[in-house]
Amino acid sequence: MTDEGERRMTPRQLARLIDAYGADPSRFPEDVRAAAEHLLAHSPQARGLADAAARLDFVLDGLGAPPPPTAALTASVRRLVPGSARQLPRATAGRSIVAWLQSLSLRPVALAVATLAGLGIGLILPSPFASPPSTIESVDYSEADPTSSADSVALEEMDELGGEPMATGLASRGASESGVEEEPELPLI
Amino acid sequence: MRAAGDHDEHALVRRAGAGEAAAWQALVDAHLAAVHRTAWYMLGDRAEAEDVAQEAFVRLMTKASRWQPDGARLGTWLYRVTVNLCIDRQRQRRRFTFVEDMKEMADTTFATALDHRIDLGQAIRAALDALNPRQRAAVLLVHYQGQTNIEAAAALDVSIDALESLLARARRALRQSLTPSLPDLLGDGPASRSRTEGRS
Repeated sequence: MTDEGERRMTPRQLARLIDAYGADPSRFPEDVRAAAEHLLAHSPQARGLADAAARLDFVLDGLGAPPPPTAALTASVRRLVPGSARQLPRATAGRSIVAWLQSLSLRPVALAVATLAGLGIGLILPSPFASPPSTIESVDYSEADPTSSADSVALEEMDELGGEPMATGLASRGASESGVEEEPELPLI
Repeated sequence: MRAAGDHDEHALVRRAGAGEAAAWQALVDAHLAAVHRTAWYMLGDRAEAEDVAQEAFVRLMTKASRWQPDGARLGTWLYRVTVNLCIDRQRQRRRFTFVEDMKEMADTTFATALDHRIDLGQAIRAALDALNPRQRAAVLLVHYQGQTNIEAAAALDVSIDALESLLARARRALRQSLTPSLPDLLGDGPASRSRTEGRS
């Protein structure tokens, strides 16, 4: 009687199992596997459900087996003995240090350092508006108006923009600051 | 039986944490292949999988000396760390390679594979890559790694119901992606039929 009760499973319950685990009963939860196999053996409707799922299982199996870890990886990980002086393999020491920092939950600190570094670089680098106009621009404008010199055109253009070159440069940096706040530009490590 | 094995393994972790090389190497030999396999299924790239596997063991190295099982088996803990490292890496990859919509990219790759009947593995990889990372992790742990529902749920730190929901949604999405190609991928389907008949 108990055995019969354990074997009872509705097609709906089986469909739920197959939805999640596919057609192979060996992937079903252990406690319902026998009931599912019983239903599959006795119900054409249940087998129909399994057949459809089996096609997807078969295709997924076509991904193939992953390659084994290389000997170099195995050797380097085996050398990572806790407490030893030669813990970090040279080739990946940088990445491993990052992982170690992350394991210490220092990610917010790293983000702050990266953001400050980005701001610092932005302040140190000269603004493109502070440097003299490029030769290419000079040539273009000279051709457009042969009577004016390249420098005077550049100055007029700055006047039209309504500000001093340095002020424009600072405004530009301000924009980059707001950009940093929205989407920090992290350095590639 | 399992409890005794777990006890031995926790003792092994503590010995490794104390700097015993043989204990550490035994842990590496027991778990590196599975960690690497998980990373490979998640990322589809051998070099990246090796990076992640190494990072997972670096995490273990830093934790081993103060290892507290907290009810989790070492393998489960390593799976969880590995899956999370892979998800982080995929986020970084998306950010740094300017891939705005990974799903769209995967769909495109998949469509190409379909049109030209190029490579089954490539098509499956594209369909897997298009999944939500946690759905992908659920599929790889249960379908490819053969974990039980209890083990996979523990590795993903979710309930059994949540795991089954992840699996069902993942399989639905995979079916949707792969169904148009099934005749091509299966030929006329005799392999599938014989497999199904063999099972029933």
